[in-house]
Amino acid sequence: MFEGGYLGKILRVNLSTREYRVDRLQESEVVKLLGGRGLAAKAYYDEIGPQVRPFDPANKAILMTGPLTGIRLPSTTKIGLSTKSPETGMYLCSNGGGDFGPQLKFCGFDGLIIEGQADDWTYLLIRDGEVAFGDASPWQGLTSGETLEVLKAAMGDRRAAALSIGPAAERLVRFSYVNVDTRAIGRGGAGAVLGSKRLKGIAVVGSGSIPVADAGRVREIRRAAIEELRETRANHTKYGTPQYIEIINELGCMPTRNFQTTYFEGADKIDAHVMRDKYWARNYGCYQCPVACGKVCEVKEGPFAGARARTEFETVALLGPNCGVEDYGAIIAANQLCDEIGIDTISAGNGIALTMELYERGLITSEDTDGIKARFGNAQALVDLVRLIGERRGIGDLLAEGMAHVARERPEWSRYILTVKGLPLAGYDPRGFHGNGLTYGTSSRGACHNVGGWTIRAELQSGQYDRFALKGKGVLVQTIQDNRAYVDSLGLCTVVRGSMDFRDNPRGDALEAVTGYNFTPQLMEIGARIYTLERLILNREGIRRKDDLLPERITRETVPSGPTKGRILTEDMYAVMLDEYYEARGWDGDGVPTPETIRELGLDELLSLDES
Amino acid sequence: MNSSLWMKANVQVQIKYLAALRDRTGRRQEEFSFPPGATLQDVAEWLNQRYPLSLPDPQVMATLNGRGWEQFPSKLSTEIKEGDVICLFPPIAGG
Repeated sequence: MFEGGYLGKILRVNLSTREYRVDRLQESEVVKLLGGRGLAAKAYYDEIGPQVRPFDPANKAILMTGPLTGIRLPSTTKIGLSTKSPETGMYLCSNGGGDFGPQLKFCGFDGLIIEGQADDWTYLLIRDGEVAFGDASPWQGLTSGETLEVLKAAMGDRRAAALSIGPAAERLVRFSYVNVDTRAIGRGGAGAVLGSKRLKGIAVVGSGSIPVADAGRVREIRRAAIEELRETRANHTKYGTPQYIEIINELGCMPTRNFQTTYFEGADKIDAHVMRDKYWARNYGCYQCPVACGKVCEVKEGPFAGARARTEFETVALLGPNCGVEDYGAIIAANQLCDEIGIDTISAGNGIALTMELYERGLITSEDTDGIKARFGNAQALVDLVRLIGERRGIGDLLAEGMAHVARERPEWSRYILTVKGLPLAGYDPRGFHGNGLTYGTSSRGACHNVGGWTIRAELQSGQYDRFALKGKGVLVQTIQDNRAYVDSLGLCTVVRGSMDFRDNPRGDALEAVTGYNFTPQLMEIGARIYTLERLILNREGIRRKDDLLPERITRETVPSGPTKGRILTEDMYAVMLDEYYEARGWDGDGVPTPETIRELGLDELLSLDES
Repeated sequence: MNSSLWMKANVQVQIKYLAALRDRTGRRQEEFSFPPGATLQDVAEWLNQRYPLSLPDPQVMATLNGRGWEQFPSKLSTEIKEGDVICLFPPIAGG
């Protein structure tokens, strides 16, 4: 059926038996789910039941590329992952950039499923169709970056790509990330799943090529897309995502001091101009990306001199304003430490902000923080608290178990904990953009701005959606989520999707030029199918309406200062949006897809569901 | 804007140039007084004369007190008021 884009094979590696085999990619599933996130969700549905716990050997790390991964089009870099999240205890979808996905396809595989649990620390080398198991015991304790280097050296090929974990994942810190060629599969703790399997990393290099249906047309699309991106993404090239610091702050949406308010008075000390003028060293681009939005930053002087990291908006927002820190050098140092020990900067920033609020309220003392004076704005404390989490010392040991665990252990702290389904909020306060609250509440993986559907541009630009209105937000969020679900299944970075017309009214022919199959008219339906498939998985794991609610601070505390002073998103206000959303999706009032919806999306056939 | 209106200028607004817009204006923010009855269209024309801008422009997001200009029922005919805050910034698309 497909003339290009897919290789037709999934590599399955069992760490318990040290064996591997090759499965066939099912075309009937591809037609319905496209690739990447969609196929990873289906494999999760089939293979990871609700009884499986995150650190059980029965949990799996399912990595799937999309039809565009590795193709000579802009930023065809992505690989999607699904697993049972150690941070939330439920389904997790996440994705990463770098060269790992493309190289896996050059080996002839559309996906890679890691299962079982090794007896001793192990690494994998995948070269074309062959898999070698290596002894990673000497690499215990290496940072995630050092591990990438030793993996590539072990492969002995400069083209090799790699993914790795750091020491935090070895210690099962529940929000450990997977370092993918210095990009991240960041949220939800997939790194800890690999840690539980004693898999320190994987290197991959392939010598094959990926067939395309119409190479000439692909070249034309590439040229036009690059030309458009040079114009429309010039600001991304110069400033990267840190350009949003100033904007989100002025809009009164910036998480500040553990979401106690939405405007950070020190934002002008950490905005993109400060980054560019004082800290920027060079740009970083993923596979085939002309935008190169990654900003490698270095601290040249002061107490954090020598620190080096690629700061992104979310990282700056959560480690900066949310911890009251206005020292960009400290943010870089904390970012670097998160990368080295291998933890998600969003969850880390939330955990540190919680610690600072508890400390300032006198609910914990220096005894809990190993002597660290954990006050908001204390730049050195920010860095030291990252280390405390990574080394599981003091309150860091509790935080390392994730916010859901903290809330269970210390219910009296719940009002200071900002999560949905156990996943900490990202860098936007929903009291500033109410649609963003629905985004967090209904995201398939907990409070995520990407999977949940990033509404802020629509809420600012469209005459249809006032940012503080409730009506219409259900449909808006559904539309953005479906768009994102199919883009995450293409293998394409979201930053470039517009250049190839992968919007909510998809028009382009890039996918047809690559695969020879005209997916375009069905893409939004595929997105809706993936989203409802993910909801069925979540339902199976016990998730219902009660779990789609927002944290207390957002629904019960008004914003005390800044441009959105006096704003709140109460439970009643939120319920209006949630009801509309469920209706738009064809889910019942408890957030369960109706039999009609399941049938309309073809999920009954795809999942072999009995009539009910 | 005619000169008689200009003499009675008394609607002072704050204009902020965020992120890459600062590169185009050379400044972070400024305050300016417009005549009574001035609209967002007047602000746009003033900005276009002063800086290399051609508002309204899909490559520039413009807000009045935190809402997009196009979100007001009267759109660019919306009258500005004393103390209003206008922000200009590049299109945003998630972090």
